Amino acid sequence: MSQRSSWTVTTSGDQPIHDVAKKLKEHGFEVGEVIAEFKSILGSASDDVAEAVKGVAGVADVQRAPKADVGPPGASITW
Amino acid sequence: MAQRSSSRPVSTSSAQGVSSPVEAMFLAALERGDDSMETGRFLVTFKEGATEEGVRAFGAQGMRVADARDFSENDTLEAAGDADSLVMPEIGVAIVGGEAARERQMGIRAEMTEMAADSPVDSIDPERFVFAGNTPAEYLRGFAGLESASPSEYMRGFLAAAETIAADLGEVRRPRVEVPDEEALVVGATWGLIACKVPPSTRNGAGIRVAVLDTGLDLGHPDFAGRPVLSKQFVGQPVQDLHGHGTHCTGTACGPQAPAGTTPRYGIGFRANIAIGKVLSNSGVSVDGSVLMGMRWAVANRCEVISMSLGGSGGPVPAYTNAGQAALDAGLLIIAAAGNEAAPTGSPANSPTIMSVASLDPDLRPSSFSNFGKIEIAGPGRDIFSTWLRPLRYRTISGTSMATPHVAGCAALWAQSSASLRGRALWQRLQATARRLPFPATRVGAGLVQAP
Repeated sequence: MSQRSSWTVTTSGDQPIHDVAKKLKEHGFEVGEVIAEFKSILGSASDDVAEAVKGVAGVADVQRAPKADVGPPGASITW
Repeated sequence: MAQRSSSRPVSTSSAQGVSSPVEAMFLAALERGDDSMETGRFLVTFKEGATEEGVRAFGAQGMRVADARDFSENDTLEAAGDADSLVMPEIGVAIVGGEAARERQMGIRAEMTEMAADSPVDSIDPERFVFAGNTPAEYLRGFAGLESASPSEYMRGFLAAAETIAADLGEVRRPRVEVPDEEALVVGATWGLIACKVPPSTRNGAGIRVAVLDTGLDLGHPDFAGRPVLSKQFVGQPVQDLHGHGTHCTGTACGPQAPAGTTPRYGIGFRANIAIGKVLSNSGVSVDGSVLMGMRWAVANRCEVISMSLGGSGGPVPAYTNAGQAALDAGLLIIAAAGNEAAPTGSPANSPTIMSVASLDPDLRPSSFSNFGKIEIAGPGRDIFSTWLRPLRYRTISGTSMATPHVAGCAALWAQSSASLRGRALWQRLQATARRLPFPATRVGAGLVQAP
């Protein structure tokens, strides 16, 4: 079984986001937070599942959860 | 030869065990108002060749002893579990937890100038916090009575453990710029505020909520005393900032009009309502989805200005773009740092619905590190003086992270000036009133942000 990663799914907005979340679950995508305001769904899945849900109706984009940082304490280069 | 050490009484708590995370110990120290920089644990240095004998002596005293050789090089002190002591035979030093040390009166023994001739112990020293990135001398300046201590004196007795502790805190690197702003001390305000024409402004941000999504805030910092702070964490750690970056950014955007003593004014929206979303851990990194969750919280709480001095490389993230649009639709404005990689603007600043901020040097030239490309506006980012974690309280650092709260603070002043200046209208006003600079828009956008 491949390792699960965190993903951010952005929906197209032409379908109710909770319906899209339900379809993601049916594909094995573990839905975490549904941020309806941003038309986004946070969750985790294997790479295979993440690739598969790109074809789900209402899904506009699937990306690994974006990383943001400011560097470690005292870093010479932050953000 | 053993050395006399601090005479301060050493308190103990559950946050002083051998395996206690550094962050937990530092938080406990802040909560008890302890500025001694002592963690409560002790470092026992064995005489040459006497480590094994020392370990046996610990065992005879009923101490549970862990051996560092049993752990991998990637383990931190937390791997020691419930042990009373962690011995590092390679360097002949043991760390003893606060409770175990108290039971064996190590605080008293640390006062002794010499150990018994037949003791395997050479010295017992209180362990102290080590702060990444700052020279010990810089930190020592914040402690009355310790000004004369040299870095070598400061480090004596616990250098051996410093690397292990630093591993808990993250990689140690020197900050890019840490030059005291002497001019600011003379004129009463930092160069950044003067360049943005903040001191003559009659606005103060009253009635405007400014969200700072970052590493949190030093909630007990005296410069924020009496200021109501709305806060929420999204990373599984208390809002209390143990990194410093969030405290620095909040200081610029919302710090006081007249800090105590000779401290220059460094804050802009001194009457603004502060909202702190801790979306980065004390290590300075986001946790799955924490940034988006924080953005949602800031929008839900109708923060007219949302300041984000954070980011990552790569192209625009659709979810960030949607977040920026949702904010604009709600009459709110998200302002984000372009980044310090001398490379194309990173995310979330590269989303078209989020205002991207570049950094300027004191001579108003683009900072060499400042990212470029999608840039809407620029702010002072080099050598910026603002709040830092106690006990240091203030620090001068650089980055687009520092430029962003200058824009956010000025945005709060503009928003206060007219109820019509919200969201996209506020974005446009900031750009329309920016001081034009003789550099490409891809470097400085509309120019240097100006206060109303």
